[in-house]
Amino acid sequence: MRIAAAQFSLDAVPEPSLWHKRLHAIFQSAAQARADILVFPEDMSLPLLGIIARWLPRSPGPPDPSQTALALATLAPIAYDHWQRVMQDMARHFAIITVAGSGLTVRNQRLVNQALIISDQGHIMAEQPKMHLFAFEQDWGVTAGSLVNQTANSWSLYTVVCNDATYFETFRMLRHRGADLIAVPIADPEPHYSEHKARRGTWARVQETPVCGIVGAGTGSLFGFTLSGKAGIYLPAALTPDHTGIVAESSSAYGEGIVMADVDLDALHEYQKSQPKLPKGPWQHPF
Amino acid sequence: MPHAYFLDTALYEPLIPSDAWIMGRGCPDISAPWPLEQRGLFIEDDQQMFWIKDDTWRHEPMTNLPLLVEWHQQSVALMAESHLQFPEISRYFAHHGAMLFLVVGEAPRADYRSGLWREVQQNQVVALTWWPHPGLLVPCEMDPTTTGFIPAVSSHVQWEWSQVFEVRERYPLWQRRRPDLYRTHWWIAP
Repeated sequence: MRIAAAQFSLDAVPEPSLWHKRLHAIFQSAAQARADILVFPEDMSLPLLGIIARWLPRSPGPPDPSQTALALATLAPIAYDHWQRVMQDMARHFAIITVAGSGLTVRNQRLVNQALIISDQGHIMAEQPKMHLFAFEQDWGVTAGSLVNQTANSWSLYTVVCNDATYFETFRMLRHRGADLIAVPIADPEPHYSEHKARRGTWARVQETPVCGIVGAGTGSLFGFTLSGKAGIYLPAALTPDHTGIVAESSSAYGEGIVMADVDLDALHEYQKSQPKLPKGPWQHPF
Repeated sequence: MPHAYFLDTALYEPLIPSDAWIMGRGCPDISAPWPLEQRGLFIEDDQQMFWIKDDTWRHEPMTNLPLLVEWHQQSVALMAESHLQFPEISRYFAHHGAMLFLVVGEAPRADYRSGLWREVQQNQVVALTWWPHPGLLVPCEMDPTTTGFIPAVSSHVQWEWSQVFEVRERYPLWQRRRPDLYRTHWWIAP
């Protein structure tokens, strides 16, 4: 199967048509290469707030977290709905299973950072809220979600969000549910990209839990944070010819682009079968 | 300040301060007059390790690993390389207070491709390692180069526990775990 992962700038957009064009170009590249799956970054809906930002009151200095929280609770769902609609349309138009990245919206009266899997017919297949939040997200009023039952799809594709991949337990839980492919939309607030810091996420997780990890990475800046990150496709090191575990990865952690690669799921399944079981039997979190 | 020396043989080096951790390679002559007050000693001999505790020689076959030992008021996780493919083991030890990981046997590399490096990062601990160069694995935030590896200089490396606590405070991985979620799942294989 062929997988594509997008690197996309999250700079605020002044008007939607430019954003649509950039998205369209990414989809078109993936479709021309006959990609089966396309993965976008975290916080994909938030740049759309730039359209209304010019009418919002401004104050000098960094934004006050309580004001940001209030603004997000009110405005983020509007941007989310638009983003979701556009992503569904494009997934259907280009007939690609799409992990649309994530967006902030309100569910059960709580603000959540939620990733979407959209079928190649444009239907929502899974909505997965972020489970492990950064401190600044809590300041913004975002609440952490649970692992939901993601609709089974033909590729055993699941998604989690960014910091969820810092914790091995996330990948273990998904693998136990049958995941072969785990898409991880990210938007790392690291102004200076560090390869080693980046390797603590999805790359490290797939070395421990044998699945294919697909990272869509946000770049640019968002609410005062400078972002860096590389889109990438990762496998256990033993399944890559050069033993790096890197199947494909952007050459730069800044700017936009798309990476693509073919992944041999049969080889992955064979490798999964060869892995030893836990030495002391079933693991259930003891603390 | 905790510090460690790496010995190329299991021979006793009389110039090493008695408060240092020592990692040695090779089988020790346990009949030799070793300074039993030494703070720590790990000697490898293929499938066995030797160490000193309470002024007496201890001998552990690899099959007894993994182990969590209390040693000079410090919890130390002793593991074989094969244990590194199970992050559950490291997590368990970190939960029980291990701040220093030691892996007996070949293979852990002094870079991000090693399982030991991953365990150091996700549990925010330190680890002494031999391969391919002797040094200390630390959380990336504790190392100005962000590689998470501080090479030994003249076979010597030192660190401050307060640096580890500072990293944990600035980048609170542990507090942001979700045990409430993890407890609702179980698994057998990776």
